[in-house]
Amino acid sequence: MATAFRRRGERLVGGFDAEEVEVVLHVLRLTRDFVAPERPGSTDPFLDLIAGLGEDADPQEPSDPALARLLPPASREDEEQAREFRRLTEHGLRSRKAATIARAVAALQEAEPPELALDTAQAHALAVALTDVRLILGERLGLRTDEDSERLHEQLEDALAGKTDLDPVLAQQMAYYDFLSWVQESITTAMLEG
Amino acid sequence: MAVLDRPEADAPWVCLVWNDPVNLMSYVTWVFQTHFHYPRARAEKLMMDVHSLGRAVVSTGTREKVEADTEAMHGYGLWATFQHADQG
Repeated sequence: MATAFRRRGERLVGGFDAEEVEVVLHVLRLTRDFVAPERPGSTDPFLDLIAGLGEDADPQEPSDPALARLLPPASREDEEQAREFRRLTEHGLRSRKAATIARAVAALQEAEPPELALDTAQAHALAVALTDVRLILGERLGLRTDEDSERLHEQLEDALAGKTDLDPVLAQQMAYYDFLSWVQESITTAMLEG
Repeated sequence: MAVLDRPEADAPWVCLVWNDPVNLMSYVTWVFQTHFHYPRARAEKLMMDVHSLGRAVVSTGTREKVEADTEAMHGYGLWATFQHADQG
């Protein structure tokens, strides 16, 4: 059973067993593959920008609603402004998201269960990476409003208390979402206290 | 005269962050503190405005500045938009 992150000197230290670390690693890797740019970049951001400018077709708003939520339109009224912003930023944004998640993966690979110790940069990367994971999972679970979120939590509590039956696949997704939310809350709270 | 002649390009722009059911209140506060270097109280007030009013203006400035802020907010997983300050 995981225990919350606490500050220890320069580091944030939480208690996670090997299986819990594996769960987080698994969803982080899936998310990295999901957000990484479809066109591979070079290591030179300037060349990437030039390559992006030369593309025939502008990137469209993604048809997958989870990806669309990760790369949202930068205007709700002005489509042209949103399209221009997407054209200039989408590739870089996806690259940076993938790089942040890769840093979080590397940090978790160094974990020595039952302890997960993170320096400031690693904690930062994990908190941001978990946001993308939860946004995707939240979209798949149909969370569009605060009320959806409360209802989901009640359903899971009732199922865990044995009051109701849940589709096992849904129950597992909800349990993942709940666990990852707890991990993120724990890191963020510890960082705010720092 | 100088005020009346102020070119449109100088009109302030704003970056807005919109509420969503996934991002945690603590995380949103942390993002506002980390990216904008706002003090805790201001970051929390903005987070509560996003949560209870549905959106909040989180930064103002030139178009270039609020575009960069919008891109940074998307990097953090927050849904941000930018627009003219006198719009909507």
